[in-house]
Amino acid sequence: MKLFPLFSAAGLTTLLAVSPVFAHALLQSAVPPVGGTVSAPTEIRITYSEGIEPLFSGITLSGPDGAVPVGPATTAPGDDKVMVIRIGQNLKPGSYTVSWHAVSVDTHHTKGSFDFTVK
Amino acid sequence: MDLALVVTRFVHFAALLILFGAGFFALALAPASLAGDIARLLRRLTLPLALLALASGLAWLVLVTRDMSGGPADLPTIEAVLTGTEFGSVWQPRLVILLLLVLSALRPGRRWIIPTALAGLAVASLGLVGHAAMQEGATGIAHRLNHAIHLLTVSIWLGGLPPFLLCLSLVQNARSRHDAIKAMIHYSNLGHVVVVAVLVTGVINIALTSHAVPWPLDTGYRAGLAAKIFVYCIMVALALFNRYGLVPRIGHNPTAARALAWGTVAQIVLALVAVALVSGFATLNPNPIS
Repeated sequence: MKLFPLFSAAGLTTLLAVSPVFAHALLQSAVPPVGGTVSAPTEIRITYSEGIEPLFSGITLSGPDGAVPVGPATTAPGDDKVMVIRIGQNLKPGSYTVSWHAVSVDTHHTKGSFDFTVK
Repeated sequence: MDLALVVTRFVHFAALLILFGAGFFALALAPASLAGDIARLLRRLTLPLALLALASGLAWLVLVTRDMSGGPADLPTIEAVLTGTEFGSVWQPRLVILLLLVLSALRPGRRWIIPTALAGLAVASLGLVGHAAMQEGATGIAHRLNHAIHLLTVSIWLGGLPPFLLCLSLVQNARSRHDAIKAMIHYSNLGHVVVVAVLVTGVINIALTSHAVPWPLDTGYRAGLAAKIFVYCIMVALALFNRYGLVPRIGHNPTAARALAWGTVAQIVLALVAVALVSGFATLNPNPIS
């Protein structure tokens, strides 16, 4: 019986010491592919490791002429792990950078960026 | 760990688990002759617990809004979370149920069917949040359903303890002694099934969430889960001692009755410790990336 308070104290101390790392949405793949070369895309698709909330997620897209207008973040029908964003104008050839931020369905924030080239 | 969220979760879980289980005891386990005594207990518990459940449900929404938006939780953002996120799609109907629960507690009938049914819905719908909701498809349905059953059986166990304690005090009274003992034996007999159901559904939850025994104790999640299992084992041992060592003696041994009262209080404390552990560790990652 003396072990029980010790056990719970140890368990509780461990719990308080850690930060919640549950279910962060990490980039798994993208279209255009990360670092890839494509003909002018009309949308950006990013597949994450966890479901995301489109309301609090999104991207900025910048290219040779600066910022490119993009639509709001949505998710693919039936798959909340895929973010879909329409590109607001025709992309001319050059190098582009996607800076994304995502909030997973259990509230965790992640962000990152990747480049692609339009030929 | 987010202390505000953990405390909010604990208040929410504890209030609802006690509310449904106590109502279940009154409706399913106690003879009709005890209805008046038990109703008096329920009348004192139901409105405060229902208000705590609603308040903590709202606080939980505010905390999730703050976490998702990364900023202050103002009303438009809260509304956006409620109407535009997966959490909100579960939380909207839950808040309606919790509001109806408070309203039903203001004007209860004698039989408590409506508050108990609403509390049962509120408990079962907790199966739709957290790690139980981490899968889609058939596995997702099975996991959510299993967790709902887990919570309902835990509630029957924990929530039945205050009415059980009341029945123990009624044993002193010659008028109610016979029926009080009958109710306690009904509860303890059902307890055999409930204890097994809690274990089986708990194991299934572990299989579907972390897919492994919580060993070694190298993460907060595993330490918390292992501690909860430990508390469960102590509760089962105590329940067996209460049922087979003490209950048969309470009719003619005042010391046994007193020991059983303390044993029941201990069970309530242990159950709340288990709920507190879950309120904490279940917010952590069951499978940290190695």
